[in-house]
Amino acid sequence: MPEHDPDEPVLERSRGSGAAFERELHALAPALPERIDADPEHVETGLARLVLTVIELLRDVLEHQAVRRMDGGALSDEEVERLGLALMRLDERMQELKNVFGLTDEDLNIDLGPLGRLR
Amino acid sequence: MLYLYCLVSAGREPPPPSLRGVAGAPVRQVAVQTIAAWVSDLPSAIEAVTPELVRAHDGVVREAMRAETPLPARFGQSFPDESTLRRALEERREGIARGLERVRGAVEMTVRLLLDAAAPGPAERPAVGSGREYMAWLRERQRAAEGARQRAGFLQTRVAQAVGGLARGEARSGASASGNSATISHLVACGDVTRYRHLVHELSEREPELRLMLSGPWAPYSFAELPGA
Amino acid sequence: MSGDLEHDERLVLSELLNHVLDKGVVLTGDVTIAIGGIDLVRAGLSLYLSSVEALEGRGPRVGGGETDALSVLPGERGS
Repeated sequence: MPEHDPDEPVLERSRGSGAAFERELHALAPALPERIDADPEHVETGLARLVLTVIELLRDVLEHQAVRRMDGGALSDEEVERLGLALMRLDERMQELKNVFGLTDEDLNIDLGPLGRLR
Repeated sequence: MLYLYCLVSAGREPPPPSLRGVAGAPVRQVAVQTIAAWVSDLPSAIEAVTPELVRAHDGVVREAMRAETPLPARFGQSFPDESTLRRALEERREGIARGLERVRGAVEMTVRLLLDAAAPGPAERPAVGSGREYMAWLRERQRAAEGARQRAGFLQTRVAQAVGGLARGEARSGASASGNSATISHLVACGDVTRYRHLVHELSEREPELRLMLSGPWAPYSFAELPGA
Repeated sequence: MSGDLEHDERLVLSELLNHVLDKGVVLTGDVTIAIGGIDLVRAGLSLYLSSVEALEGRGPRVGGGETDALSVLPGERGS
């Protein structure tokens, strides 16, 4: 039988860390909803958020692969230039899309567990 | 709709009649063979996240924890009707039973670590520039992120080493959305909570530059995932 | 260790949100898209990605912190 008190958990901090933890009251991004329902006003945002999160995930992997290939030395200068321009344009498009739906990087900043967050 | 709070063993004490959960709704138990779910009947699905709702959710989970450690459900899950819930319980029955076994007699303790605002990452993305410059900027940003990840991991390991054998399980989070903190949670036997606190206190005294926040006991949210999909 | 009570209440809420919103068992691994209360599409999301190099046998192996292949299942952590 658990011996603990079912009331709120006890919280303790290192000496002098109060202000720093206060600042760390960041907005927690809610988990992706399992059910995207809603009235027409919300359905687009919920769906957009799901889709953009997946795209951002893919984009992050693409960017990592691009840098790896560049560092691997197998790409010509011209290829690096082309890759960079394409990724830069992709980034610009994504910022525009996020603006259209009023989504910030935090909204799409899912936690991948051991892999950390996207940003 | 049925709103889900947690998963429990079927044979345990049912929710007390006076227990109130989300939106002040009473809580009941839906059993499928050896496992059960604690739920509330609501007119519609929860769409907002408010401190009241979140506290109500956790309040029910804590009540369940009095008798036996449950598997807490993530906030916000609803089922259109009881048969849909039963089907979901059926499908995952074995995994749930194993999960309950894993957390039996234990609670979760969480340590949040402040990360140093170390070497600042690169500035905002270059507004105009060559593709090559962009690639270089990407590389720097990735390196900074990797460095931050490693530092967080290092601090988390310090905590893990301090608590040693008391940890039945461990769960680490990546850096928070702000990048300023990371957590490490441990599954700890109920009877070991005092000793766990003591060991973390000792660590904090020994290493004052390690800025940490200890909280708990929690229901084992970080240890509730079911295997497979 | 000690703390100011008011600040601590907010920190506890913050930690509570962290536990309750990001963790906990997810009973269904699917996303159901509904409009007007009517379920229309049920999608099991599962991504497996592998770099071109890895697929062609030219890249480094997965493991040791490298992420050549990335498997992401909502409701699960990591690969």
